[in-house]
Amino acid sequence: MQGLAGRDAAALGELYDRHAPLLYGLILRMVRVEADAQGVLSDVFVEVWENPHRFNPQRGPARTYLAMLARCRAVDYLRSQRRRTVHEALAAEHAAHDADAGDEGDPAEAVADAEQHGRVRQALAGLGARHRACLEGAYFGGLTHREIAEQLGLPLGTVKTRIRQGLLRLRSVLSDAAERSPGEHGP
Amino acid sequence: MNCSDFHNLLDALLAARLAAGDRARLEAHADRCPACADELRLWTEGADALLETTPPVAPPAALRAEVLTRALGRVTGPDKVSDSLSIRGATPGRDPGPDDGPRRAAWRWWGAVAAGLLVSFGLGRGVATLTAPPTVVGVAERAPGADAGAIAQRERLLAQGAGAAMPAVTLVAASGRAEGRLVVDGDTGELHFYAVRLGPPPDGSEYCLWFRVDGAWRLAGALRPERGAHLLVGPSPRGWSAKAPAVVTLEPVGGADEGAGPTLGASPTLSTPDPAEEPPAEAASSKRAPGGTPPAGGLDVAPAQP
Repeated sequence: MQGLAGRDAAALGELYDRHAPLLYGLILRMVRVEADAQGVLSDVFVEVWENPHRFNPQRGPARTYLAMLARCRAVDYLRSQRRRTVHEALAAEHAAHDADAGDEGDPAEAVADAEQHGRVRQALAGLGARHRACLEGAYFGGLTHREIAEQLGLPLGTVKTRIRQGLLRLRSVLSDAAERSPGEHGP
Repeated sequence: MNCSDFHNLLDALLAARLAAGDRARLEAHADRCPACADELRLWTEGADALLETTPPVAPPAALRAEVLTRALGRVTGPDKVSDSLSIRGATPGRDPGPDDGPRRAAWRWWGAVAAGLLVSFGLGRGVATLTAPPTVVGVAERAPGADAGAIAQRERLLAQGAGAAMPAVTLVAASGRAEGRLVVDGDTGELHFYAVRLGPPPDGSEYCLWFRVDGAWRLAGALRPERGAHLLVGPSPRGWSAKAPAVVTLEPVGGADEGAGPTLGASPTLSTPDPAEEPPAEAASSKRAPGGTPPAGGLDVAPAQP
């Protein structure tokens, strides 16, 4: 990212090489249409190139910043398209979890899946459908609490509670995993 | 902002619908309020955790070139030269915001720059994928007496400012291993070629930049290792042709008597370069001085017609 501030074209290429797969996976998960996801991804890198000073390393790593920017642009797209309801978003997410369900039942796979994203995915799956629906509607659907409440027919307070509990649960699982991980690699 | 306002904005934070100004206010409040700082950490860590559930997906290989084309081809300076470009996949850029300091600073350096051409090329590739028409491309006789210090200085400035200020178009071969930019320094009128990620040529070879002028390929110059990846072509000529193509080839040191080496990259006018159109045969006669030795300065380029 520092190279971008120096207007280093090669730095932009390197940034793309490093982060594009993650961002594209994220955007694709949100917008679902490959061609549209590619357009959003392109917008993200153009925006980063044009405004490198907006990244503040004291607020977190470049990866986090880029992911936030990617989600913002994907949400802009979704809102402009006005074609997804929370139900559609959740149906898509449930399909993804169905695909993961086999992983959860496979002990060998669970042991092998020691990477961070695997643990988090399992943690998310362990939240339960109701909490997960609210979290994913917000994060991947770009929906506010009120919109989730309206679309799911839930009280606003319930949505708020579920989201916060979900975040706490995720953090707890990640913290536990982080504490256990040194032992996993010990003698 | 008070704590109640802060909590009301967390909703939009998770949904990625927080306005830039609100995000700054959120963070500013968290800097002053430990309890809200903990809450912000919870929400940002939660967002990071949800990101971890997303498996990476490799985007199509061609998208990289398109992204670079769009980003590097943007010009927001006063001349907006790139507005005339028709870049595939490009969309109108946003107006620069009031805080676009680096870009403006770059324009102060390069505000008088007239034109540029970004050429990306993959080693060993004979055919490049062309994505856009060129901007202004010219050819000139090499300015004599350019000292190494001046070249190094311009190379540094090009590296820093080219991407921000130069109207540029991109061509990327399948491997996309290097990028080159042809720029005109409006202050001096000199034409430069600057390349990044261009490794040394194979032993006995050198990279050569060519222009097509009046139906013939003319050698602009060679990028020799001792010069780094920079080539000072010379003063920009009058009467530039906006459609003059350019190519980069790999040549034997000292030049080839017959033909030329593989084309590594080309300016976007060369859609699917026809072998008959590539530098070799036509260029050979104008490329080298009689006797097969390079002319002084390694260049023998006819000035463009006014």
